[in-house]
Amino acid sequence: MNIESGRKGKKELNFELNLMPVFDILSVCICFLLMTVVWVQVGALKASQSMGGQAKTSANPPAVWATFGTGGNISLSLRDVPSSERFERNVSIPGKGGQIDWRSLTSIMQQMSQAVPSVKTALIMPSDKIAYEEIINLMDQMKKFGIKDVGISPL
Amino acid sequence: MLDHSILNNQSMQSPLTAQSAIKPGSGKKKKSILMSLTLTSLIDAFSILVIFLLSSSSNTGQPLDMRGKLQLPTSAQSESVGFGTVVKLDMGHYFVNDKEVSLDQLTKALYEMPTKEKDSLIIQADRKAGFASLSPVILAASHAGFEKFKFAVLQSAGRVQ
Repeated sequence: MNIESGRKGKKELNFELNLMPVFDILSVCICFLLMTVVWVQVGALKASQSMGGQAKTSANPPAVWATFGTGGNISLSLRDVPSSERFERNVSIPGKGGQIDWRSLTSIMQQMSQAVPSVKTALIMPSDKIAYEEIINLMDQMKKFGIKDVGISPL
Repeated sequence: MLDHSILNNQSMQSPLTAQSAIKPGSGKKKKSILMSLTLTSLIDAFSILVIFLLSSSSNTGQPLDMRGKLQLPTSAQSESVGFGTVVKLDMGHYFVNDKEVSLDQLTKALYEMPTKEKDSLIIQADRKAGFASLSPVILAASHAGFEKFKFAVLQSAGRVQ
């Protein structure tokens, strides 16, 4: 926008910026970023694996052991939990149609997290035929209910 | 405003103007067909696009090869991938940092990794892969001295059905 100076003979101070180079740079930037952008967001679930040979420094923390059985059965077993925290020490969740009953598992995990808040460690013991997706789903459920350290026991 | 504009100056030297000089009009002053494009709003929009694309591409960790039929499981509680050694399990074949190794050589390949890359292991496997094929990777990495394991997943807001 020009602003008239009002006096004749004075050199025009207003000038128009040439925006074309800026436009060019931005176009190139957008093209480059569109080509290199990662559309699929890949994340990771962290697992804490214990290694052999490590010295035992303290008592075992309260933990839940999850064992995959046949036909979609899952057994949850509480270990080293303080006696003041009352919850059934061994819970078995039967499968539904040969598949894992995730709804029941979620419900039990929720009750467990409320009744036994000291449990922050879990060990998953899968069977050889269990799919990787099922293990991830179980880890996901555990992390959702505050179990931060989840380990997987190899076969 | 148009008299002082760069566009006007450029158009005076443009081929269109030159052509009109060869074929002059009837003497009447022609109405100028030039108009100044307002690029400011376009540049604003472009700037917003650039900022958005820059911010969405700045949170990447280790780049994972997602080619092929490999489908990662989804997880709502996942974190950023970070950096580390990538072990890919694809159709029964094992790849350590995109280099195929046999199951027998897996422990050796992981053991011979540089110390700085032994901080964490990123496991990339198909969601339908059985644990029988995944377990050797965990065992081999444990023997090789890896402490942190990360299972690559697709981030999702939802949950299991």
